[in-house]
Amino acid sequence: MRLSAAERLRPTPGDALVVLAVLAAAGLVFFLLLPKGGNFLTAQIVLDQEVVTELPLSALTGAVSFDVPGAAYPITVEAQPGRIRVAHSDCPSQDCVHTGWVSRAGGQIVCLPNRLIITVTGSDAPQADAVTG
Amino acid sequence: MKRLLPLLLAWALLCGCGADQPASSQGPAAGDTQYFFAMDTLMSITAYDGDTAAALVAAQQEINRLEALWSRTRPESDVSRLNAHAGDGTAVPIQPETAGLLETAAAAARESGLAFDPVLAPVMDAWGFGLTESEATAVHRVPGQEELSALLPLTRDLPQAAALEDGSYAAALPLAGQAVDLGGIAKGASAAYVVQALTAHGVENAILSLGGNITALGSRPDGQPFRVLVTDPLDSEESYLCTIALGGGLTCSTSGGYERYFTSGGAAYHHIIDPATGYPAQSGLLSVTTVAAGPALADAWSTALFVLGLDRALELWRAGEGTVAGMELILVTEDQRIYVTQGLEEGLQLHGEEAGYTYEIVRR
Repeated sequence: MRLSAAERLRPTPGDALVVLAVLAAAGLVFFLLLPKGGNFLTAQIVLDQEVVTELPLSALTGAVSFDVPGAAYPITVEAQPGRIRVAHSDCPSQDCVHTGWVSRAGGQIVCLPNRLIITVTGSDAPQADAVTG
Repeated sequence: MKRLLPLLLAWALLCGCGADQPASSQGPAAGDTQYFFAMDTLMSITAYDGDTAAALVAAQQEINRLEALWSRTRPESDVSRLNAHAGDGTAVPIQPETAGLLETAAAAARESGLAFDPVLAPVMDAWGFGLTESEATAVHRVPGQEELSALLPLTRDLPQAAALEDGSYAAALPLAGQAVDLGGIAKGASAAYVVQALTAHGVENAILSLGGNITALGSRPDGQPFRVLVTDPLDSEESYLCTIALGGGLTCSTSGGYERYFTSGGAAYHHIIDPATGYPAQSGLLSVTTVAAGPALADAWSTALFVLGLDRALELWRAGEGTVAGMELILVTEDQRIYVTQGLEEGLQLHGEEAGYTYEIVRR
């Protein structure tokens, strides 16, 4: 790729490659995150309305443990293939820790003091618009 | 390598976009959802039409406004000022919304024979189930009979609210040591105001979840009624008893001992205190779900019916008149029997049979 000075700002075949790669990546991410017939579980971690991360629980091959950045009370989330829990929290209520492992679609862990919600989604959850209780 | 960096950045951005996919791919036309924490619980509102962005902001502002009136932990709230003047003869000025809610709460209290009690706070506090703010730091304990006997007389005289000549409202608690706690009705009552706020911004179809109180406005984008999962009280994080169809304008509310409890000396003590005894209600029920047109009533009566038990609840439902007769109910007993009143039969889907539940449709 030899470029003259004037052409340096123009799109090059290399840039087009990047665009294609991004589009391919977008398609891949889209398909990876689509609910599938095979019950693919995903955990979404939301702290104070911001999505912190999404974990593809079903795709994990080993245990993952991490502290949620920005939490008011230090909180440690542990994920294993197909399940997730709050392993430790410095919050006063400890409700999130007591919830234990969640391994089914539709499951939720809430830490009110931290304004943290972990939601597990997947294809085996009964389809509904809301949950009471 | 220079080409790789933007690629990685783009990938990171796309992952961020992808995060929204699972939620939005569940419905034919996903609405706009706002999650927020208020009244010490998780709330969510999904609006499907109208000016959803403005509507959701207005809805959340409305909840914040009501929380500022009805909170027990904010010193300037109507409820806190009312409690601070308990028994001293002062008529405390309150907002019309508070006067209306006190009236609704008092009516539910009287009709339920005080199974729902908005002035149970002194007893709730003794168990450590009281002030919502302290729920996080509360020291739960089993109060002695003597202590409860001294507190119970403070839990029966309802606040007196009155409209003044100038159109404003005032209220007073008759006895020193009394305290109002509207936690058992405030979330439900808020739904009516949220619906107004949404409607004012052109929203005709929405679903509200205000701490487990679900209110349907209109219908799903596919024209079908909203579907609501009822939590399995024996596995409340992951399992469900059934799905019900919730028609537009209706609210469902669930009360169960599984929601908040502590263990002491090997025994579990839950947070639904029977105002008659001062102890956690032992009615043989695991949970009660009410479906009603009035969201505040659905909220208050799910608690009241949990305290009253299966037989009394069905008796009130069959009575033909009274508030409960106009509701639909799901009553779950400790021996895993689920009683569903006939109005919920259409659209009912069962999920708890594998977990050992048996179902019965109750007819008039």
